[in-house]
Amino acid sequence: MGHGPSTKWNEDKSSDYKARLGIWMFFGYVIVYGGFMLINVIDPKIMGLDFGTVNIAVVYGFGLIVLALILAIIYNTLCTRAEKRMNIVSKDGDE
Amino acid sequence: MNYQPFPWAIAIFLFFVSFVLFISYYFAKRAKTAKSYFSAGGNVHWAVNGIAFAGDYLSAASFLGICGMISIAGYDGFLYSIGYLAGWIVALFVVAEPMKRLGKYTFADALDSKFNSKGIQLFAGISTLVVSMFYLIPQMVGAGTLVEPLLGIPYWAGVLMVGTIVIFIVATAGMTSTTYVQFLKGGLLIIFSVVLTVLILKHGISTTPQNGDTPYHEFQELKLTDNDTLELDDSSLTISNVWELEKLTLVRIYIGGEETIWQYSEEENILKETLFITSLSDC
Repeated sequence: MGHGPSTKWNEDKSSDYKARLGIWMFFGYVIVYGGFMLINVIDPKIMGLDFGTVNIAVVYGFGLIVLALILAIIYNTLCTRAEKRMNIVSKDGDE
Repeated sequence: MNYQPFPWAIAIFLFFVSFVLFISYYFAKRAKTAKSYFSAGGNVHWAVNGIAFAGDYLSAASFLGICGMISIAGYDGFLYSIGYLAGWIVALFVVAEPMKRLGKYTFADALDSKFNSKGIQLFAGISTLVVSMFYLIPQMVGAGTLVEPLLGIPYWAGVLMVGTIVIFIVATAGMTSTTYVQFLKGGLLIIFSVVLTVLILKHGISTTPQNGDTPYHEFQELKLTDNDTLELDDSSLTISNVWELEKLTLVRIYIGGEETIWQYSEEENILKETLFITSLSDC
């Protein structure tokens, strides 16, 4: 089956910005995630230390899950804003 | 292991499979082009797509596999649950936007359009097949294990049946039916997870475990006298044995002729009743 273009998007001027933003946010997450993995590899006992009523593993682990959701919302908001700002609609409706 | 088939479970399963096949047939008739086959014609509502994605992630591998891994491997299993999410971050931040910009259906197509190399095409194909295979193994194991008690059929028949249905649906009707089937599955999982959570939380955050009709045993505490010796406040009870293990001090007290074991808490100056076994396990 011929694999033509999947979608017919108009030119998206914010595409570079969105791709760059994605990479930066990815590296931001990798640093936090890397910290979690490093502690687990180097000294896993640190994860067993108390943090309030639970231990660090639970707080850090669930924190990573919540952080991913928050980053996704921020990414979506920034990308939507960039699309509106950079793709100005002309009078005849074309972007 | 032999299981008895449960008629209602079979009826619901058959209804669900027929419904899914109907959706598949309905959308297969409409999928005439590559665009409608690979990307559902770009017409699926974002909310449906979102729940379909959730359905993808709440798969047998993650929903059953991670729970099983945590119960068997403990903390090591918990690490995997975090790893699942890291994969999603890669897809969202690194793959999604360039894929959309290149306007290709598959990751291999996107790489090919950028580099135009036979080697990359081949490698993308091989890695897709290898990853899919290892992803499908836990999915199929999950499906077979679930169908076995549900329908009372052998494990291999469950794997074969579910595998055939899934391959048939995806291969014949493409992304539209796959998305709607995942939407249905994701929706049902979310609804029943919420129902289960409510039913469990109805009993409160913390409950006492029960073993059939045997009531839960409330563990007691016994006060000691202020002297620095193991002397009970209650003079009607006497300590018959004392064991000093590494950091633990355990004592045996017979109450009404029944043996009980207590742990000495130096900080609180009390004895805490403990759970104990009278015979060692084989290992």
